[in-house]
Amino acid sequence: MIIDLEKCVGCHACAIACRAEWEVPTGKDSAQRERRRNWVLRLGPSKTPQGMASTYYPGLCNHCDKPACVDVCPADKVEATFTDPKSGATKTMQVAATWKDPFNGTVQIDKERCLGCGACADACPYSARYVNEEGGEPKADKCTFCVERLAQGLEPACVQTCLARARIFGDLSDPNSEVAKYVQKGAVKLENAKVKIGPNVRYYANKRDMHLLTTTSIPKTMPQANLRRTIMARMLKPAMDQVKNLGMLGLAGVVIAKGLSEDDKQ
Amino acid sequence: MAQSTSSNMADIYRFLAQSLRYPDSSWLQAEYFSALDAFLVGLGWDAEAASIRRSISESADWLEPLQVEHTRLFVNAVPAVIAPPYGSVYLSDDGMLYGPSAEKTKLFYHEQGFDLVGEADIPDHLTFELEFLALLVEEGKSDEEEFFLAHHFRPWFPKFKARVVCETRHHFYRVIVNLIDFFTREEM
Repeated sequence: MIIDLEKCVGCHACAIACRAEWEVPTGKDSAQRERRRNWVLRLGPSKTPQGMASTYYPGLCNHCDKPACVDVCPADKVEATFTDPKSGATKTMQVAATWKDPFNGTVQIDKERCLGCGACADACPYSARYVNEEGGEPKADKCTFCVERLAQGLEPACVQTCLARARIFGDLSDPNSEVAKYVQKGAVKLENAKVKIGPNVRYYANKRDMHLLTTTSIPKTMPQANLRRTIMARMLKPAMDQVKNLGMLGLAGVVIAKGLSEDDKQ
Repeated sequence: MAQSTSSNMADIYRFLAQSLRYPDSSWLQAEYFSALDAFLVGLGWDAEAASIRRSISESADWLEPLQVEHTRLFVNAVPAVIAPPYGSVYLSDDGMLYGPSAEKTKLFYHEQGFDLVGEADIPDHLTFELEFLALLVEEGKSDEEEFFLAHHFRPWFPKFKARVVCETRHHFYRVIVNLIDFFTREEM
């Protein structure tokens, strides 16, 4: 996907269409992650070497070439067969509950097998995943590039709704596609030496807006989440249920008490 | 009921804190051992789970040996208590109880909005530190949790753990301190 910031007017229609299409809740999850598949952040106005800049950071999952979120998934792996819709070729791989499709390149989640541990969300440098805890079991959630809509011949919801046509969806591997032409014109990935996992969403803008976007919106480092503890805490779920049922954990609060609030002191 | 990972971690800290309290029948019951067993098996610590099962099933009265060992390790023993569960004992040159590091820990609790309930409570007791970590997790303060682990907890815990692991005569305490180590260690 290409996002052309010369066209984007910052109307948030993409983010809202996505929330409506996929019932993405607002606010934060219990680990304080923004619950979002698709977002628009306002940047500037700020001084840049090229002059005053004011633009937007419309973001979504980058469906990276080397996605950090996939390797950390602790779910048991199962065999899955993928088919290339163009050539009909197939490939069989062992996948956890999240994977990168070897043919269309999208990063997907199997909600049935997702444990809801949030390790993938913690691993994403772009904060493009969160854990949806609404109703029933918690499940990781993210942009799918609207694969379900694509299968019906539709565009992703954020693309279809963009009144400025600032979002352009297509096949980067096809040199004649509009997206490939944007790459030739110099559309950039939000990456740097430390965060280099091959994002596939690219941004096109004038020099000053690009300076503002790249200085504010490229992650500084890869997340160093405490993955062992996060994953273990989730893998122990049946045992944790027993621990919770002991009913003794509530006693603990008597040892350290929340300090008196200013009101209470008066 | 959905449980988030972070609240799991808070429960793990509390479970570990509870496990080091004085063993009495108000909490140390079959349900506790069943939960501990499931917990160890869930981690893949099968040998540890088996060792605790063995030492509990060896005699009808398993509570008293645990009480004796708890007292010997953490409260008093002749000629000296083996592993006092207080940070400053390991962090001050002369092994002082309620040393300067304990004051710093107390101040950190306060900065995060928590105070000890008892006037005479010693702030850097192992169970208080674990409970404080649980409270930080519940408030979503993961940076503060990491900071507390790195600057207040880990500087002394490995020394305490080494003494318990070397000296204890009961598998229970060896396993519990190894569990605490596992869940508080820096990694990757």
